[in-house]
Amino acid sequence: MEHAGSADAAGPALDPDAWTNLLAALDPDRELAARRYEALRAKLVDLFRWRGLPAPEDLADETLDRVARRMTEGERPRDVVAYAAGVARLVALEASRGAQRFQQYKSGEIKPPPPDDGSDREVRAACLDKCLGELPSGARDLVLRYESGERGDRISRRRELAAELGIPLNALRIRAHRVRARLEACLAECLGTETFRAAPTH
Amino acid sequence: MVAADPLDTDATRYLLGELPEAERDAFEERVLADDELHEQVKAAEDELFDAYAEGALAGDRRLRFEAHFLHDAAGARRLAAARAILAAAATYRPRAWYAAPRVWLAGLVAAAAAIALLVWTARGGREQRTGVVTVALIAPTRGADAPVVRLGHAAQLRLEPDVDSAAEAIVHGPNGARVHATLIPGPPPIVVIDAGDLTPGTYTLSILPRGGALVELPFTVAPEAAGE
Repeated sequence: MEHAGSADAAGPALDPDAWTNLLAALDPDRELAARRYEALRAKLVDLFRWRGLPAPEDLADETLDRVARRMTEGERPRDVVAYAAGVARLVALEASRGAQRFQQYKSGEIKPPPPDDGSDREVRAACLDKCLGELPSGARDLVLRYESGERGDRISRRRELAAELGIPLNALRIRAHRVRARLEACLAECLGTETFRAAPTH
Repeated sequence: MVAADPLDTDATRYLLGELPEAERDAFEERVLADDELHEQVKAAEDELFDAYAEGALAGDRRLRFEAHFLHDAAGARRLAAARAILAAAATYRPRAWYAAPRVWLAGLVAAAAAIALLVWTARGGREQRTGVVTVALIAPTRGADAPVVRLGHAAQLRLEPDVDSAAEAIVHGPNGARVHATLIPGPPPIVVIDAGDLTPGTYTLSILPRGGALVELPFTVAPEAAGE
């Protein structure tokens, strides 16, 4: 596990018992509990990111710290995941600049991202070729067919593709997303951190 | 019911901050409890990056997207990736056999089967298997059945599991019996099975990615393979 009860601004470092309690509440099997913990943390990171909050990893850790601490203090939630959702809402509220960001953006306080000038298009294409080449052929076909065509035609093309594969459209979306996530990770590695680093806008 | 327009979903409304607070909180609680919904929201995020890259987000939605997703380097990288993928997909031509209408495909399969039967008969009924059937195995999702493999007269089944690396691969057959399989570590990893070792039924490829947890990928060999 990456995170194991770090100290945070809200309180002292957690004692190991707090983590043991939290893991036990997630699953009696220690290994499964560790996996559930990691999955829950990954989702919390996404939720904070989707709210547009800065440092979503730190906020996820803060949420789980608080949940563990409260359980040590005697709280016994029936559903730890639902309880974590409630704690995450409070953490988001405290950290909330995301709600303001759209207004700041609209009013021009935050600058829009620079437009794509296409200067690195060739590097990008070369990296994508390399990354596509590293995918299994079935996955490559899937993601390229999923993204192909004009935007207006894409919905019906995807329906056809889903029917061809014998799966619902939602399942196709998820499969395409999984392949794309691998592709993006490969692209990021190929391009390095500098190539597409945008100047911070806030 | 799946919305026809991928931008007209709760997931995209959530991501753009368009859901009222109570709905947003309830939605987030569902995301935490439901792995598949979590993936659907991530897929919706891909959809928004594509839409933005293609100029399909207008007005408030465009501003909301920029405010939420393009305020840091990670967002800029994802947008660049979306543009690259869309550009590659725009010039992509699927293999002709793959894009062929089903009726043609069915005709070709029938013709191939007829020719194969003639050859088989001419050779005194001895089985002649040639060629390779390739199947991409992607982790199952709700409502999606395991892929069905039609071996026809192929000599080998080549499985392409949706993992980046593999240290070990084991295949179990319909009765739980282990089937001999050869792992080519790659990347990407490929698992090859002799078609003669496969009978109709459901199989599971258990694959251990390097440094990762075991992934189980089911597939079904269609009955047509029997007695060929």
